[in-house]
Amino acid sequence: MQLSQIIQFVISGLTAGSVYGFTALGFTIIFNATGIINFAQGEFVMLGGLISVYFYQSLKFPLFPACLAAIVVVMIIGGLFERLAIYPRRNSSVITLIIITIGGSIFIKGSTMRILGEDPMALPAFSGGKSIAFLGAAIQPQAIWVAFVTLAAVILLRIFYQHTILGKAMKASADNREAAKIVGINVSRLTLYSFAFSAAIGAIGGVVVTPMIMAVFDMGGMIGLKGFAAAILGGLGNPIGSVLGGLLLGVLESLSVGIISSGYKDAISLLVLLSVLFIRPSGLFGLARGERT
Amino acid sequence: MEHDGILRKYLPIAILALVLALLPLFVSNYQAKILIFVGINAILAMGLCLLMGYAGQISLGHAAFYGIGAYASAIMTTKYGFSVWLGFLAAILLSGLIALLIGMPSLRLKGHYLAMATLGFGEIITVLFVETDTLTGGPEGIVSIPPISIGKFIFTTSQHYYYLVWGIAILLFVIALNIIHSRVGRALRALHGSEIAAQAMGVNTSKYKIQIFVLSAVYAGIAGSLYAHLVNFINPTPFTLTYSIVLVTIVVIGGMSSIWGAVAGSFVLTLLPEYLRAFQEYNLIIYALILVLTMIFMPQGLVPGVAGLFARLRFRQP
Amino acid sequence: MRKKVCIFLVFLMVFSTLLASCATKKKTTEKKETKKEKETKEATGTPYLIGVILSLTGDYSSLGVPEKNVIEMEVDKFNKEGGVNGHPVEVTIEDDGTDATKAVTAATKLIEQDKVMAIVGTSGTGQTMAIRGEIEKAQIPNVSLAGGNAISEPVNKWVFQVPWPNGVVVPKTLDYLKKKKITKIGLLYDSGGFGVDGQKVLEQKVGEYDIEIVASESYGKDDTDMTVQLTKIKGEGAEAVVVWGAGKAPSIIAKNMDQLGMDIPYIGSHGIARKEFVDGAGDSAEGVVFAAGKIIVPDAYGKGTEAFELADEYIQDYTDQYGEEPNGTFPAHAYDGIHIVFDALKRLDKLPDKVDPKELRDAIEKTKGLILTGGSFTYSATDHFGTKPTDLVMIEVKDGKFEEIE
Repeated sequence: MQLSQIIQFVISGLTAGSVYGFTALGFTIIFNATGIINFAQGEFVMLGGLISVYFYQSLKFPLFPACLAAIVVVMIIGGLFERLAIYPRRNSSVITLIIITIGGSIFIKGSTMRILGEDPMALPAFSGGKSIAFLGAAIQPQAIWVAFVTLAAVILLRIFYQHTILGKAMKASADNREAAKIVGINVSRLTLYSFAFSAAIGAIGGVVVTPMIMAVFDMGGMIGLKGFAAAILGGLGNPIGSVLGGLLLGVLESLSVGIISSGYKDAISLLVLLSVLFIRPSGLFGLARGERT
Repeated sequence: MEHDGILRKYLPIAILALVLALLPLFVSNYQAKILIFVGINAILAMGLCLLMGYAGQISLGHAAFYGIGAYASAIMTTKYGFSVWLGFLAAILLSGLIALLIGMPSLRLKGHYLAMATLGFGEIITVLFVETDTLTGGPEGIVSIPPISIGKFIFTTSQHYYYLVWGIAILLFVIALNIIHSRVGRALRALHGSEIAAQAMGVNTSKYKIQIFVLSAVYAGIAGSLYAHLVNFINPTPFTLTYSIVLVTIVVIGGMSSIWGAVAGSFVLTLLPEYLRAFQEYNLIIYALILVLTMIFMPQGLVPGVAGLFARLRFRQP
Repeated sequence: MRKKVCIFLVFLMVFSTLLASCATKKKTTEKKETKKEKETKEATGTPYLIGVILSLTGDYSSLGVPEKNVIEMEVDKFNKEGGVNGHPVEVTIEDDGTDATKAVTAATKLIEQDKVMAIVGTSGTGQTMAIRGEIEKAQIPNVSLAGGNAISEPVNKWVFQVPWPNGVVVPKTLDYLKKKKITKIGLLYDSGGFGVDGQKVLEQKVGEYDIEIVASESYGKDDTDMTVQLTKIKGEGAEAVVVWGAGKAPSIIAKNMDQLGMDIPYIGSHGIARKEFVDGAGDSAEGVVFAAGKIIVPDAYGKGTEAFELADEYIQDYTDQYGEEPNGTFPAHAYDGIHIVFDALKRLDKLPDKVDPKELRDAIEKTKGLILTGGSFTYSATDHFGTKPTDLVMIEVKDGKFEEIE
């Protein structure tokens, strides 16, 4: 095994991992504000990708406006989802809400299939497709876009949670909903924002990776699963943890394929993840926190 | 006095059993076949309900145990030519054993982390189903699994299978009920209420959690075995995460807090896609809508929800 | 109190099962009546009932939905042209959701409730294998639209296959590779049924063509990046990469190969004979070669031949009715599947009101030289594949379009 091969594996892993990281961010945002796991998170990524292709190919928007428009649309969908499906039962148990998000994800997937079709679709790469050589390995320029956008997202989120009132309020309401209400935080409004926000983040992720991996109506399932695993690995609730978890998961998978075998890659990366969980039950960077009551 | 108590306890199940026994006389083969799948799902759901509703844990990998049961039976009867009953035994033992191995480390985790652990193990087992193809036939699966037979009698028709599956289901239902009403059941409910408090009272929570996890896996293994001999063909697809999620949905929609909920949920979520056939390509969208609406209007599930409706109606009468 | 409620609930569910079946029965009888009225001009005999199971939802919905379109279109046309000796054909289409269990309940419904004489479908190999038990019990023929080798090898008396299985496509592909003097290939296959089946057949047959598989890697159909596997293949000195899979991964692989600067040939499977392979891979699709049916490049039938006219008509009808050309090979398989049934019906000695499925099966098995989109179909007691490597052509992507090459 040559060094340049290993470097290629790592780079490929980081590329795939950034998709997971983005999805994990979405999970974290909603979890932070509401304590629930949004099973429809993967669908937001899918919608970002497919809707931007629709705007670009069918409505003939230029590339960047198509992407922005798609992100806005998905954000609205996220907000609508919250108001229609989550809000009516906002005080129910976590498991009830999780089933609602499961139903929501099936609904979104099914409707998207009917409206936008079953075939995979692609966007052109943002700045051309010629790969860049790096230490004997090749990087797609789109991957650099993904890295850049991920980094920007993480930094902005950190600022948001630590330094803005809204961000701090979100964290407070996740820690203790009742106490948050007592100090005057409009908790249900926050839930709405967190869903819309998380949908937007998911959509951004979807838009920026579609040129590399193509969007298709059923891509949300696997992406959601890996995103969830990444979020757990990094520590549920920690945005930086989520992204790092995603990257780590991606690299783990790549190395498993490269060094061991492709068929077992999921098994191997999951085993590693589970081992981490058994040693550090709150994930790598998670803070031990109480369950939502 | 004693007789009175037993009668009361078993009367509802007896009525259910009676209805189920008479049903095949009134329904077509097609409906009987669907009801067989309802029964298989009910067995799966009952096990999971014990784990989720009573012990308060979660398993997002339950379809894997279903698969272990199915593959164990299939491999024993096709590759090694053993009898169906040995295959059945293998299914029970293997699913229980693997549950023990997985449960011991996993059940120390809580909430979403436990969910991830069970999900992870479920996925790993799915990968094994696909990759160990010399044993499992890989993605193409195993064909020509023999039907179940007792002596010279072979279970071939839908009606035969119906009675077999529901007979086993009722038996397992009774077992579940007994557990719920026993010391174990009370310990589980204490555990569900507050693990720390239960421990303070001297309840060995780890032991009980693992025991119920193993039991729920055994239920799933039994269901898997029945499935394999029913369809005579298995591949990894029915035993993946998607189906684990369907099972959790069945339990929650039916009503986690009651074992009846598991049965109700199985009926509704197995029959619903069949009713929705008329909608062709739209059947999945409507299914999802019904799921969401059910949770919005009856967040505790169907059984508590309907019971609540009845209670309110009663109060309204002068 | 709660227990009474529970019992009541169970009763409710059970009775609603009965009610629902009555409801669906009514629907089918209503349908029959309106169809009969329409057909008084064309075919007026007792309709022959054919069941169809397709993946209208789920993973294979991109195959199932166009298949449904084609079947409905062809059945309409067939009936307008008089059906079989005045008997129209009536199809009942059920969804299997790309799920074995649902396929089984669909088959049971079609057999028990709709009393069909044959089943066309399903769209997927797993589902076709799952309904085999029902088919054998009911003793009706099944014309499968799925491509798995296991469907017809070993031959099952009741099951016939339409798509060219890997056992037919692989030799054609290997033959091409040999002509191009390629002796070392790297194999990259989908870990699902289609890919694994292809891998097995390839491993079996490469020796006959003096070709060696120097690297063999799998990938998951939903995977987003295959550069790792390709890097390994590159390292083993492969002279061509053979990719066996369908969906979006093959497009990603084409892009990955460019990314890694691999300019060895990309040989695909018939799974990429679809528009979106080219759309997704963009420039990277140029030069990709694969074996598939002539339906992808209709000129290959030879202008003026019966096959060409048939394919042209099919494409034209579909475009007129649905507003876009049929995509890929699967809708054409559906066309072939239903026509095999039509043809067999026409060859029956007697055409009573109720056809004996066993005779229909026998007639299907006697299909000889039936020219359809997939090729010239001939079945026999030992061959339920129907097609041969000569029914396929090698196709290359040139300027974003599919072109036949020799």
